[in-house]
Amino acid sequence: MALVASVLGALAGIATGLIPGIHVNTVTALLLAASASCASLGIEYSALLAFTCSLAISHTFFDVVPGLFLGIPGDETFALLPGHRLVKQGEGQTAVRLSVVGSGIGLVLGLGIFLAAPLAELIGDIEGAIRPWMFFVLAAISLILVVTDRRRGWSLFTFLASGALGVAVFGSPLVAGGSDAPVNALFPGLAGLFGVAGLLFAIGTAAGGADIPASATETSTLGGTRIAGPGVRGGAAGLLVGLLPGLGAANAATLLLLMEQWRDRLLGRTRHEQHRDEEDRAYLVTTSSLNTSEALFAIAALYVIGRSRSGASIAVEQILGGSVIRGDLTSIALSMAVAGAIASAIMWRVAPRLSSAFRAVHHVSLNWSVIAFLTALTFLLLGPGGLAILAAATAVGVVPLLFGVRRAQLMGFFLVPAMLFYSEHQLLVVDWFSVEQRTAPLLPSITLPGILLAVGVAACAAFGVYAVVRAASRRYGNTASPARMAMLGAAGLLVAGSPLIVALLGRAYPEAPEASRIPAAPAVAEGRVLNVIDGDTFDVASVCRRFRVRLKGIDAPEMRTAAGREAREWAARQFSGRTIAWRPLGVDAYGRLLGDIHLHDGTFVNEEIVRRGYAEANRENPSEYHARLLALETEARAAGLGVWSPVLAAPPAAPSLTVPPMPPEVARWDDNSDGRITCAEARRHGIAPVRRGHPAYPYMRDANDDGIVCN
Amino acid sequence: MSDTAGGQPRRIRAAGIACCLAALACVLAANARYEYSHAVSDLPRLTALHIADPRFAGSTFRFEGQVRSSRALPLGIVVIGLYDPAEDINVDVSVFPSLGSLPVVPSRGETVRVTGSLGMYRGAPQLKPLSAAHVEVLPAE
Repeated sequence: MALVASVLGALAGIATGLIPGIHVNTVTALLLAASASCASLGIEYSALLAFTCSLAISHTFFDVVPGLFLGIPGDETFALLPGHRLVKQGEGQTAVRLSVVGSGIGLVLGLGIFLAAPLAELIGDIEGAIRPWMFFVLAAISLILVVTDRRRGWSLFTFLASGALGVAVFGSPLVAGGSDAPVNALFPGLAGLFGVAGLLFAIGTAAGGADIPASATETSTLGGTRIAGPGVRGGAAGLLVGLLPGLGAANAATLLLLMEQWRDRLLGRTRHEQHRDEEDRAYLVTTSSLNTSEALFAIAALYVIGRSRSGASIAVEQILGGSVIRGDLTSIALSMAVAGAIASAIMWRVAPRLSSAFRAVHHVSLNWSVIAFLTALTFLLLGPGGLAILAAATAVGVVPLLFGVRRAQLMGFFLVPAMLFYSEHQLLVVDWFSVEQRTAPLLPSITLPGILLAVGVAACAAFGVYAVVRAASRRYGNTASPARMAMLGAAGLLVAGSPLIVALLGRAYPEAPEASRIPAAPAVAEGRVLNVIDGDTFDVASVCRRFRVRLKGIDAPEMRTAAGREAREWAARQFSGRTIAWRPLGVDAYGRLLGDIHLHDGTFVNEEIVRRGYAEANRENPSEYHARLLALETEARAAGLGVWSPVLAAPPAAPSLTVPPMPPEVARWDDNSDGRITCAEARRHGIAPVRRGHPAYPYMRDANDDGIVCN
Repeated sequence: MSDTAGGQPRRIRAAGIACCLAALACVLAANARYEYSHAVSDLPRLTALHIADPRFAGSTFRFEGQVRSSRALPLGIVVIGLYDPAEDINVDVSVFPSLGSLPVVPSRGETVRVTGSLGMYRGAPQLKPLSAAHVEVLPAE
């Protein structure tokens, strides 16, 4: 199942990577939102995990293709310019294959580090050491990127404008649920900054693939190209930006280029025009490696540093119930390896045909149709407020293109809010400028059919726009045609006008939720026991997610004791892999869901464990069937079952078996007269924490046998 | 500056800057104009069923509970641990500095009502308030 999902994910990633202006974060956000209602399809979390990881990796293999052949500026435009130059020289096939090799190196390097536990731990330690200095690290990187740009003033303007947009979008009530919603305000923000802006600029400046030479003249000569060094450098840079907040591939690519220039200057090397071709090739390998390893490490960050660093890693975190364990790494790595193998093989084979395929596409029409797709999808999923953010982000996104500064400065969108946060003075700034985050309420409204419908309608709009623009271009010509100018003018008016309309009329705010629209959560869910953590805690796969479920009303011995290990082994033999129906009933102090679990043969698992003597009724947090559990516990004790058996009765397995009769001076602390003193009772009588030697200690449960209870 | 510095005519660049500034001002103005018009009682009360159903991730809920802990973390984050005995739910409420200053910082034992987005942090459910005003200390009964 997971292998099939990996293959499908790889193919989906190839499709999304080939569409210009579609960011992998957009795709994973839609996937995550759609997967919330996938329980009825019988898809398990492991398949969804494999699909998501595979898609994220294969997308990075193919998302360079539109940039290479169409010259459309994306977020990695600075890196792609050398690649586009190669394509124009008739080396499209070589450019694609170099990109495959680069991505492959990034993937192999990343997987090697990902799976080597000591290295992962070392990286985690380094990140922990950097964290207190994160503001200074981010500020230094931002400063270097700004001051080394050709036009520092406009570079700084772009950085600050995109930063102001980031602050506004992260705290905006224009989209219901703000930046926490499954499909949230970041989608139109990123689509505008890095998608629509570049597409409009490509239309306005007639950039595109009209000058791609015929494939017959193309050659594929990788021989002589430096591959290993640039690939490893890219992979290492991907590690850096994958783990640090706010940074993207564009920042890392720029930093790498600067470092190479500084190195050449130090060594007194001069760059000759005849070496440019070789440098372009090496740079393409570097940036492709960087792009893939960044995607990989952003997901690995969940395990290494316990934080999500990309849309894909947020999706993985939610699918896995918030905790990535060592065992998950193998599944994630396998699906990534499958994606890399499939994407490499397909890309290598289609490389000779890509030039002719892209020559057959009418670029202006394609660009308009992608703009139509993004606009329609934004409106259908997020309403007019989403369109306002898309327009504002587009307006900011065209600035670096107009002034010829690096588009990496647009990463101020993430960097400025991140620097504000790490500066420890965010509260002061927020209060001073009155830019408090305010989120509009959100109720679940996005379902799998809803997303499929929205994508379908947006795709239809895109095809329609392609056909209309293509027809208009045939009639009026490709360049500076009245139709194209009219459409550009209309787009400009929309970009400038829609936020204004929003601000003046306030029509774009999400509607107040109505109680009647709230869907009912099912009281019982189907699932499967994945793993038995201990005698009263299971990992459960259900509704395309993984949950850690603490069985309500019972308490098994801790794993530190022989009785605890025996209880876990028995429960694992009985319940691992069994299909179940479970009912969530609460959340304990550790954030675990409390629940009832029933097997399909009618066995009530909570009761069964107590009946077999592997747990006792929970006195501190009794369930609605507490009396029944107490009775079962008494029977199990009397029969010497499970942990009450004489073999396990020796300390420290089941201390309660050796409990002497309760004297009257202790019985006054036993409020419910059940022969045990709970922490709640100890606290109520002011005797907590209770140490070994205290008269109440023998009647309490010292789970870790450290001589102190209720500490 | 030449008339086509940066590759584009000056008037196009000027229009681009004007568009950028206008758009930023409009989004900030739109943010500032927003007012919460809905009644909190219309929003669903958080239950374990919602937490276990991925369709509700990111959705808004109201939660009333007793403060079990209140701690200030580095970087200005305040985490309030709440317990709702009626639903047997423990939830952490994370108040980030991006929300601005809290009108009142709840202390242990007080009853608090929070209206916020449901999320997960390291496997445990957490609520992020819609705004600073959506963390309300309820009067003692």
